[in-house]
Parts: sequence; C-alpha cells; structure tokens
Amino acid sequence: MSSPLRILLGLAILTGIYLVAQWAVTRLGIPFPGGLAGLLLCFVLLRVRLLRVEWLQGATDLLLSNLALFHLPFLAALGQYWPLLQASGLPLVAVLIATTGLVVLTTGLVAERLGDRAEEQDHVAIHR
Amino acid sequence: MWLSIASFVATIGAYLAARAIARRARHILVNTFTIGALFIIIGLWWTGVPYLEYRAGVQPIAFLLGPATVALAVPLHHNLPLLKRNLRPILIAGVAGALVGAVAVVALAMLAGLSRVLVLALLPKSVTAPVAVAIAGLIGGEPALAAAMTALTGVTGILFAQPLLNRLAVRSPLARGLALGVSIHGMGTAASAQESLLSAAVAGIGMTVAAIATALVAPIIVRLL
Repeated sequence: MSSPLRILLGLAILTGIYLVAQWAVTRLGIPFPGGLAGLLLCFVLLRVRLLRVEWLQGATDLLLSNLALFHLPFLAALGQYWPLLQASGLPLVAVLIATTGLVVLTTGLVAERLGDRAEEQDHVAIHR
Repeated sequence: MWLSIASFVATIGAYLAARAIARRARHILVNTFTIGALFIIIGLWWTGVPYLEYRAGVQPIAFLLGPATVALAVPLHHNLPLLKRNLRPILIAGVAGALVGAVAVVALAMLAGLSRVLVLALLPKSVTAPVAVAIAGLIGGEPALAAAMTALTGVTGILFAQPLLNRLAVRSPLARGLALGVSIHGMGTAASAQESLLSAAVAGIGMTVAAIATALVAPIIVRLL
C-alpha cells in the first residue's frame, strides 16, 4: 500500500522528470515527445538507482489506472470533427482495420519466427 | 473562471460516471473512453460552451498525460529481465511492426483519398494514446483526432487481433503478446492479460517499443509526404 504522501512524492518526481525532458527536447529542437524522453530518462534513473521504484509505484498505479480521464480533454474536441469523420467514415474504418491487421501479422509472424526463449514458468513480474 | 471550474468538475464527474457504467456493461465498446467522451461532447453541445473555453479549464487534467507517459518506465523496469532474455525478437519484431504500420497507414489513407488532417492523425494510431497525442502535435496534426484514432484502433482491433493470430498459427505467448501490444497498445495489453502473464508483460514492453519507434520515424515519414 502506498500512503497519500508517497503517491504525492511519486507524482512530483514523475512530473519533474516530464518537465525536464520536455524542456530538454524543446531546447535542443529534437522532434521527440517530451513524455517519451522522460520515460527513457526515468528508466535510466531507476537502473542506476538514483530513483527507487518504491517511490514511484503508487503514483504509477494511480496514473496508469486512470489514463482515460487524461484523454477526455482531447476526445471532447471530436464534436468539432464530426462532419469530417462522417464524410470519410467507411474508407477511414477500412484503412484503420486493414493496417492494424498488417501490424498484428508482421509483429506476430516475425516474433514467432525469431523464436522465444521465454518460458511460462519464468519469473515474470506483472506490473502496470 | 467559473466556467473553468465547471469544466474541470464536469470532466471528473463524466469520467467517474463513465467508469461506473463501463464496469457494469462488461462490453469492450462500452468503455471509459467512449462513454466519457460521449458525455462531454453532449454536454458541450447542450450548454453551447465552445471547445476552446472548455479546454482551458481542463488543462491540468490533460497535462497529466505527460507524467503518465513517464510512469511507463516503471513496468519496463520491472520487466527488464524478460526484455533482456528476448531482446532480439522483441526489438526486431516490435520495430518492424511499428514501421510497417506507420508507413502502411499513411500510404493507404492517401490512396483512399482521406484528408491530410486525417492522414496525420492516423499515423500514430497504433501507439499508446498519450504518446500518439504528443506525436500528432509534433508532426502538425490534431492531437484530438489522433486520440480518437488510437481509441478506434483499440476498439476495432480487439475484435479481430486474437482470431487473426490464431489463424496465422502464432502460438508462443511472447509473439502473441508482442503483436497485441505493438498493434493495439493498451487494449492489447489488457487482452494479453487474459492469455498469460508473460503475454501481458511482453505486450507492455511492445507498446513502449512501438511508441519509441513510431515517434522516431513519424517526422521522417511526414517530411516525405
């Protein structure tokens, strides 16, 4: 269990990393999402043990289990795009389904071909 | 000021209501994304509040997508042993799937005569939504449309991704999890969790690999358009 204080600490750390990463990619003019740069930075900080995963776990669970909430401000704009979506409905859905199928096929077949040494009984920790 | 507060409170309310409904409904299409968005779109239409004024009030909520993306480092950290043992298949198949997907969706969308704003929104459609929103912003697309396309990819993909893998005789938990994570992001991770723990963990890794690969290649594809 994470105490509210620890969750707040985790949120502060994750937000701080995000802001630093966002600032860095903007400053360097790299066309790369600040959040992803922050993900990589956070991963490195966890590996070199500058950050402890216990500090972030509570905040991570909170953020990742409420992802839909953070998307609502964006999805709310869809009302504005309704005419556009309606006009290209069928081709849009066809393109979407065909290419998603292609990704499933490519990834699945290549991964199956390259084989997996992972075993069901491997110690696999499942975390959000 | 009051409008901002009302927008903020209403969004939280819509989210909680949508989540309660989604839990009862037990149907993949009745989820927190679709129902929550529906509530807010109807609410805006009904009250006549312009989207941009609403958006100002909910900026703190939208901002949290950034820290949420950073938080994906935590599951990656936990699953590093799994990633290390299977580095080659995960990286090669994950990157291949993401590249094929990004190029194919842009090519097909243009062939189908879809407008440029839709093409740009479709490019990151297989990427987890918080990253897709950011990629769309970087390549001059509409974040809102990109969010909708990822949601649409998830809800349609979930209907056929696993049957397709069965048809292709893809049986290893690693390959199945990876294919689901790379193609339909969070929805694939959720679906993999019902197959096996290993699949779910690999799906999460695949989701992150696909996000990074797509973010790297998206500006290049757009320059070629």
